[in-house]
Amino acid sequence: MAKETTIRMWRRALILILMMAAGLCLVVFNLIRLQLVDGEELKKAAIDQSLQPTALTAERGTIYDCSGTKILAQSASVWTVALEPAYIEEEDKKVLARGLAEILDMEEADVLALAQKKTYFTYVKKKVETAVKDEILEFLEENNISRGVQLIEDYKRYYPYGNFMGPVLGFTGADNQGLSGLEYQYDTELSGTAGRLVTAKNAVGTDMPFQYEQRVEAEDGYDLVLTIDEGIQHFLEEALEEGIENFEVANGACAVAMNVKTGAILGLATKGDYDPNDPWTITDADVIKEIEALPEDEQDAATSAALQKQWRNKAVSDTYYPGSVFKMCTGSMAMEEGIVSEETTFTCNHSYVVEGTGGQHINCWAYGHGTETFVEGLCNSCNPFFVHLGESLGPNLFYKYFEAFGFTQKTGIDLPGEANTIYYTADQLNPMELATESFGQNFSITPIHMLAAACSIANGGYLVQPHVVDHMVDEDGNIVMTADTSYKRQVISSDTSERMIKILQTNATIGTAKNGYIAGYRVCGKTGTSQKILEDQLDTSKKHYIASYCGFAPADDPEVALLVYYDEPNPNINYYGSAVAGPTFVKCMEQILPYLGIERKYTEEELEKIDTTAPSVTGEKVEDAKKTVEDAGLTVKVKGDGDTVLEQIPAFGEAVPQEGTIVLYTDEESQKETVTVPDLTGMSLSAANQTAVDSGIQIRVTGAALTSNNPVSQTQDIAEGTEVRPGTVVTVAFIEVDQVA
Amino acid sequence: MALRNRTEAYDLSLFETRPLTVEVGGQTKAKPAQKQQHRNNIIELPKEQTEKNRRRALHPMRAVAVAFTLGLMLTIVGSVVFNQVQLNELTTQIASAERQLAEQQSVHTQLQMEANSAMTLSDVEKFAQDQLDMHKVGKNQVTYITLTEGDQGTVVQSAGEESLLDKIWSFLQGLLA
Repeated sequence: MAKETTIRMWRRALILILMMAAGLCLVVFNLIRLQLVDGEELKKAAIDQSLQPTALTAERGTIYDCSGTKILAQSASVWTVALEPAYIEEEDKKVLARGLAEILDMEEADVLALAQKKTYFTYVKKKVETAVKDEILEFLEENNISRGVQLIEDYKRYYPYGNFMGPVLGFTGADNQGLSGLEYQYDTELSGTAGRLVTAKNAVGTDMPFQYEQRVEAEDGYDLVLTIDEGIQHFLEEALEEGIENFEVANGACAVAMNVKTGAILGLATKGDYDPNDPWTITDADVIKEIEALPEDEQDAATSAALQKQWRNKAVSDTYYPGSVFKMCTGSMAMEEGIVSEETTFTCNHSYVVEGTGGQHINCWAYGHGTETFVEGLCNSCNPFFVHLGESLGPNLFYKYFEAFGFTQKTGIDLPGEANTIYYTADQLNPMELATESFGQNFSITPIHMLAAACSIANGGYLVQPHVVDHMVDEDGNIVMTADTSYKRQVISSDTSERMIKILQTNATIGTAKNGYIAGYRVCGKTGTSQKILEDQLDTSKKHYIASYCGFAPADDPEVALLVYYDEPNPNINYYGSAVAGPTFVKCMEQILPYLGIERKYTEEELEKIDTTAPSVTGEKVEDAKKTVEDAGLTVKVKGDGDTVLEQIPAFGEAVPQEGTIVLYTDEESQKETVTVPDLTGMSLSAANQTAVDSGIQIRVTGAALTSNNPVSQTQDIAEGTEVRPGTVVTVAFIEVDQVA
Repeated sequence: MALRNRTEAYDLSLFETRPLTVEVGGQTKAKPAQKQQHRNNIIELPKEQTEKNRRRALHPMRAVAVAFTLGLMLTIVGSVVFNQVQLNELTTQIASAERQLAEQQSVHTQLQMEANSAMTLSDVEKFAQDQLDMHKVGKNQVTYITLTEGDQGTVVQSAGEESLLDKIWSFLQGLLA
């Protein structure tokens, strides 16, 4: 009995031992699997579960103008409003929709539709500011709505001056990434590096900062300090807008001012432009109408094309035939090679037969300039003379200098989308191509190329590197990058440069570029008018031109070069570079040069013509006042019967033309008198003067009136029809209308 | 049965000492008392050992020391816990303050941008001209003079090296200066 029991026990014990052994094996097997086979993976999963990293956003760098203080673009955190419709109580939806619509300036029905969506999450409005967020929170608290509205932190890029410098600055996308302009070009530098905060989390996801915390700080993006001066940019944009309006320019315009010695861009204005705060809205009302008139299936493509065009920076992305502006380069090549000097003569008979073309000829814009020196040839912008110079240089020499001036490569300006130039190589330059290129046709370059070449003529022959960013600064204020202002190469000698400067100054004073003349500022310039052949073929209803003016000042020590470029001015008004771009050049330079501290230096001849200043006679007895005014070389007109001068027009210190008039008001009745400003445009100097006198006002003249034989008034600073006091001085700008090229 | 016939609530006689009885052949006989066995399992310790094992009387100072130590330990543990709590609270406060700072900085930027947008150069220029009746600086505000060749100034450079005496004099002046 006892023996049987023992065997059974042994059997049971054996089974138990086997089971335990099997269990142990299983445990050991799992241990090996968990530790050795899946160990690393599980360890990682465990870390991921308990250590949740949080991204620390790097702040995007700020963009400043050249002063380093004027903010042109800056980021700040804002809020995105979202709804969680599934969690909103049914009775709250209408209240919520009404409240949010009012705060967010939206339609109530739209918000209600979002609130009633069968979804867990939907956006209502993105990038709202903190004040709006606070309003929403207040509204939610007032109405006891605790669920269903999410306020998510976001970032917004601010461009405080709207359109100002828009195409240069560019804009950023929804993820704060640069999409255009400097924002795109310097995206890496501006973005910085995101940081990371790793902390241990407990089971419910709460931070346990003292258990484990590792913080890698975010590195904010670098700040960009531009070479562009806010003031100069303003002058350029203002003048361009005026020019576009005056000449009904169809395809935009640009103006670029550059430091001739460093290549620093001082101002770069492009029109039509856009507001980087709202880059996806088409700004041109005519374009919007055109798109709306299209069939619906074509509208998206048209909108996309219009936006792309709007975002283009014409100064770097558009190529054009520089036209006669390029003659300053051809002249420099020829002078450098000793082919021509100031006194070298050539006879222009209107038509020039190009050698090696079997009798093909090129006509001059004029009916023949006759025998002229090189200086006169450039001042006349004589095409045959420059074709002759091109032939004399030959394709190899011409191409050598063409390449040296930088026309065969991108300038490397730090703006995106720089266009490739289109040109003929030395081998491809057959006689006709060489002839046409010699006076700036048949090859395409960007305005920046032309301006850089003009700078090299102005600064002693050195080709500069155009650049927009002067330096970059990190978050601690350390300069981490400075623009390289070294020259690329010397294209022409300093002697050739000096001689060309003198010739170009003559051109801007008495030549075809005299519409860019500014008394006292020793301006050098060259005009250009080029035809857009392709557009003419596509649209035969009108001719398409590009009018440009390129120059620099002051001639004795050039500091600033400026290129003004109008794309498709209305040919019925005017399309010549001299008439269209010249006045804009003057308006810009007249403001830029004194702004940079460059003083006028008048010649004796100029001094005789400049305006004088009204003396102070207010409060004096009429007889004494008359004497004071007459002693100043001015004439007097007395209004009223009083014996004391109560007021004078022009006021003390204001500009009065030589031998102008001071009107003295001696009683209150006379002070109420007004006259209407007449239309003073489109007149000769004498006619404008007479019209002004007849209307009881006086004019002071600017532009070509001082140097031209046949000036015509183009603009006036006080609009026609304005009521002004008798004696008021209206500034009238004159141009030489028969100037071309 | 006997109990039923009695009036007492308890039969205390049951607890009285009675001789053991054994039933033998239907008769009950008293069981003879067993001889009481004395188990000798007590170990007597030597007197020295007894003295040694005697529990010592607690010294009052020692009691104070123990109490102090316990108090100190409690204080340390308490302060560690308290510090952790404080640290947590401060961390929360710092995080909250940092959030507020960041938000206020954003508000500052937002307001600055709004202010800047209202002060473009065009707006400033328009306001200055229309509201303040100001004008741009004009060339008429500058008085120009004509300089002849003779009016030009010349900076005269040093004629030559100083003599030894001049150098000594300059040195002395330098010392006295």
